[in-house]
Amino acid sequence: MEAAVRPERILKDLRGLWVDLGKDEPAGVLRACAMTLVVVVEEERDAAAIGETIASFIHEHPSRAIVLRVRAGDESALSARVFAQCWMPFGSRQQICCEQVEIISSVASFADATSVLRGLVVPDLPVVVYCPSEALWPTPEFLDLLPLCSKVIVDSHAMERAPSALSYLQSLSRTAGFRKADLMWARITPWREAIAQIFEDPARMRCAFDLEEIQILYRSDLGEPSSVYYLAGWFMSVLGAGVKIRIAPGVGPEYAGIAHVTITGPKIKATVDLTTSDTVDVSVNGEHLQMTVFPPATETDALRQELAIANRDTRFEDALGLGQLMYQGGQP
Amino acid sequence: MANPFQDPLRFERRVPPCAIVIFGANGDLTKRKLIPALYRLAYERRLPPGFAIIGNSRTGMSDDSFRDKMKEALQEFLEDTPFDERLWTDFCQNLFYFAGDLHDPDTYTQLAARLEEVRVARHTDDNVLFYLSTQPSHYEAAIHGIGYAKLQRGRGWRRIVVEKPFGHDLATARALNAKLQDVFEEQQIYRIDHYLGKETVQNVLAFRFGNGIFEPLWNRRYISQIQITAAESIGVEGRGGYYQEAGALRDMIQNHLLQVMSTIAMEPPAVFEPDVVRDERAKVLRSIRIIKPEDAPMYSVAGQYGPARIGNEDVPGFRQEQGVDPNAQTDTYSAVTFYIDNWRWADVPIYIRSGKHLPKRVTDIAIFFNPAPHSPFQGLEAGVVPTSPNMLILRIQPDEGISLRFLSKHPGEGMRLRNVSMDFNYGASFGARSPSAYETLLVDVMLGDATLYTRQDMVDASWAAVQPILDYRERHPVNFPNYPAGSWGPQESDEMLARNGHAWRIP
Repeated sequence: MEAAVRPERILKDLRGLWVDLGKDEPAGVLRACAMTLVVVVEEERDAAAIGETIASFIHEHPSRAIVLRVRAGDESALSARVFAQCWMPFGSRQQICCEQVEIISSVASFADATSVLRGLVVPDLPVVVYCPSEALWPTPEFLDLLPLCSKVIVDSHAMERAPSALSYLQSLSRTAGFRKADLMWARITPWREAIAQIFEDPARMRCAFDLEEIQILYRSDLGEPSSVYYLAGWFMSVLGAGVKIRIAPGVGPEYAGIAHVTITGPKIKATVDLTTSDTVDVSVNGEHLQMTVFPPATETDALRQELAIANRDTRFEDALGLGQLMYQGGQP
Repeated sequence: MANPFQDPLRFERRVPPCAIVIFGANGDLTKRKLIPALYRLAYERRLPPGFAIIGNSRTGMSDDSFRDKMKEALQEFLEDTPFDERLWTDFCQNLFYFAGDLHDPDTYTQLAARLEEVRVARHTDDNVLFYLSTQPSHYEAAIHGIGYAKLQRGRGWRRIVVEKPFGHDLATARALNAKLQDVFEEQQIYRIDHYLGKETVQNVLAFRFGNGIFEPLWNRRYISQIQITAAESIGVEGRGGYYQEAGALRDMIQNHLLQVMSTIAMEPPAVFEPDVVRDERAKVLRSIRIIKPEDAPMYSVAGQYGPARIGNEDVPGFRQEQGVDPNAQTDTYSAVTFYIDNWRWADVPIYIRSGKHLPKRVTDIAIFFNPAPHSPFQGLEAGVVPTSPNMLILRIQPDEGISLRFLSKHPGEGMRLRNVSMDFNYGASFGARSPSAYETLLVDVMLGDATLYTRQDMVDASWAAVQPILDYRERHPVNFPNYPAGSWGPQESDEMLARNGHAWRIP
């Protein structure tokens, strides 16, 4: 008979893990935890990749990481294991470790798994739920998890009909106590920074208030990426509904699905043009202003950025609302 | 009017367009610290498009040669950041150079012309930051020259950064200040003390004033003593010539460590604004008890390392180092007992020590709390209650973090108590790279934020606090060397604390 998977059992295993780790290391180990991070994925998703993603940012966001893998099927079995992610900081003699729990459930036992999760959150610390698997978003079990969490993060990067992620996020209760995020918004931060940079100059800043048209060119094999609607929503939230926004397919390299942005007003025409997969050239009125290298737009980097945002992100909320309106019915 | 596209939650603070003029651009500080910090800011996309660096020194060089030199320096001294050829290609377009003697008025006429060129070509908005990275002996000439060419004023802002030392003693510090204020307004002057730019020193403010539980204990009623240690495991490393003119008291305690002390001892500022924070720091420095020179031996100890064998290596004494006078009276170690005469800190000794060739490299602050007023465990069993007090340790470097030491019951029968430590480790909770002190301070000065810069009244007060010790040492040579390299300093230093019933902790 399989062992029962219960929170107290997993917590006991975690306690045992720390005792063992302490025995193995002469200097002991340092347990680090600043949040509970729950990652909910379909089992098809590469287990090693998820592990690597967590390992690569865990030292920046030390957490009790709970990976819930949901596999297809109607078996009622549930399994769990605990282990630690440890690293030795440069110049230190003591390892720092974070605990990790992996729970495998089937679609049929998904509800059982979420009931286990409730007992595993670290008290008094934020609970962040990250779910990159679109198929799980509408399930009652996943929605049942949300009241537990302070922040829910999705990723619309690899979705077909990616902009529908905006509708999904908007549909999550506004009154709930958790904050919402899409890694695609984090991925377009370098675009937004490059655009904001243009208007740091006082003369150009004055032009920002009477811009007339924004053109966003995207490039994606999956149709319009959600990033264009986030960017469009952001422009609208900053400039008001009067500005005309055009979204069109483009050519050349893309970064977070976007290839090129043109900003036009009576006295300014600024272009932010991706020249390689991570290099943008910023020009104003035909004159080169700056070359910028964008950081990698990987899931890990976007998660790292998103986990650092502990407060409400009103810019995102505004962009989400307006971007979704635009996606649904054209420009509001 | 604010940039409507800004997003402070996700974007780093943006610096305005400006030109930085570095006097002493061929020197070590420029190569090791300034250019790597500026490149790193470019890498983080924090520099504005309208940006230029104009280097100056006496060596004749073209813009391109200067760029090549800075590229070499970057490749050698850049830490934690990859060198990106494409970024460099763009960044180096902002680098310009002109040769000129700081004592020659023509230099400043040329500089005015270069500034005008870059204003037009690089859109720097006529904002100019002058950075004195030269030998201190050239400060006066540079300040005078800027004034001569009226470069301290323009259509944009003009600021000047002055590197330490701010004088050699109180009198020369005041003289330097007078020269500065002949040309610049006080709000244009940024006296850099890179210790204040360290993340962990800034975290002292967050720790004290962001939390409610420590501040009620932060006074003479609960704290018995404070120890500040800045130990280096290396010697003068080829800088003997420079160092023998400075010494530990001037090089570390008068500036860096007294600034750290002021951060520990200051009153809570009402708001986190530059002048409010600096007012509170200045008040502490002005409250330091000024001793009489003849009392200096009671309150201070000078040390100089002698030769020793450390590990499997013979280490020369300070007087055997290259470029050092064999009879040098330089203090490679200094320890001072300070008292802050105010209600919060009256009679609490604050011990500060700094030295070279000590057993390890460490900078930390240890706050010793009074023991519990009554222990119910006394007498239960002989020797069960350790005598060491509760201690809070703020580790500045390395292993940045905070530890609280307290007593806990030893598992098993009986009430045996043992010291345990509750640790917060910066690296464990924030694995992200911390900006270097120079990155922080350069961004601050370009933004006009002087919170982490020192003000003249602070410089005066800190010189006034050490001046009696300097005066005494001037007249009373010490029989150096008095500690072997690799030890924790001279015995007199232990005796200084023993007179108060205290002992140095071993960090």
